[in-house]
Amino acid sequence: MEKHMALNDWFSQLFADPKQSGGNIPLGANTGARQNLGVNGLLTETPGVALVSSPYPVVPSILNSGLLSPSLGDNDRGGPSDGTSQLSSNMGAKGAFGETRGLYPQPSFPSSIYNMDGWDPASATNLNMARTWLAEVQKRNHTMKYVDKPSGSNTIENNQWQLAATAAKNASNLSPADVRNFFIRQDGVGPQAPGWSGGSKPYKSFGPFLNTGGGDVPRGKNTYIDFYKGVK
Amino acid sequence: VKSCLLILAGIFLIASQADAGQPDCSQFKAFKGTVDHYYKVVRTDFRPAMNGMSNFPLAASCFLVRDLKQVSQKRLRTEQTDSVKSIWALRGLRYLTNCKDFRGRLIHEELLDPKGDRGEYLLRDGADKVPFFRTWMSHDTSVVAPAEVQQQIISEWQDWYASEAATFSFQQCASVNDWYF
Repeated sequence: MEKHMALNDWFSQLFADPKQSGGNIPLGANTGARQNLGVNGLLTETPGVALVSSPYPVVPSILNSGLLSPSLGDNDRGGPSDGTSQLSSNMGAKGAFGETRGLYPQPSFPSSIYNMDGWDPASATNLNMARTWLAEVQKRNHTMKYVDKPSGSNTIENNQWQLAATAAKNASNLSPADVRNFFIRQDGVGPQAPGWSGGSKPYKSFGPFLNTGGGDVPRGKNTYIDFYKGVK
Repeated sequence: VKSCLLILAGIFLIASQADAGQPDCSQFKAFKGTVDHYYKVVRTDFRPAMNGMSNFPLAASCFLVRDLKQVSQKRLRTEQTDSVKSIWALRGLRYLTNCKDFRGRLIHEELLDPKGDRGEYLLRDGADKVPFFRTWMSHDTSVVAPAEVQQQIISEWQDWYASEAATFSFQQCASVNDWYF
């Protein structure tokens, strides 16, 4: 209960008063938050947190696997030797990064939003799975936002890029072939469904995540990525 | 100042030509209500309305082409798009014509920054193939091309209607990705 209360307080601070929190500072800004990242970049598993059933490895495994090595990036060498696949993986990474660079997993304890040690493993895995789906959708529908690999030394952005690149590398056929569209929403705030869906319901939703980006999708802690199937 | 005046004069000239090219839809008056209804339900129920227009595509496309006007906004949020007839007229035309689309050439490159969000979206196929608008799928927001591009595309649709529509083989566009975004 105390932990729950502490998290609620932290959420309130994070999204209600930017001056009291590092969480609402736009990505790319010199936040100083990089100092809050784990020293060795590894997560510790949180006892008692149930992990979702998923073919995607849990976050600590991802970070320990070497998949987030600096070699992943604009010249992704990790995919099949086929040049087209490499290009596709790279575009998938740019798409996944462009669409989710302002999204973060739910925390398992109050800490900076950028502190990977504080991410709830199940939520982090869920977000990475969503990124993989985004990379798969990118192969079927190019209508998404692409952002290149960050060229600077901003640890936060670089970390988000690495997660997107890893997710794109894992793209195969995890999502149904007729899932070609997705929408990002803040639950209960702003548009809840896209016009292009024509009233159809999402096939699968990933979330809730924290959205620090703002803009078209309002900031908040209940951000969902909705995937739609067979929209015509 | 001089170059700005020249650009404005050019836009005015093109706009005048575009107005002159508007089709005469008086023979289709009986169908106007269906097209008007389509604009009213774009947020809630546009698919039946689009299918309704598909029953008389020549008449519907006449009104849709006539409703193509220059859009002054550069960026449109979801709810703003609903009231901009030109965006939905284009979507309707693409839908009725089996995904037909026209592009324009960006004459003055300084009007779009390729590194900005708007430029990145609109210049994806090059400066000589700029769409009237493009919609960011995950946010359902749209960015709109500069006026000079819009006018070229409006003129293309008017020319198409004048010279091809009467014999055109109308067919519904099968994929939302080819008519909505």
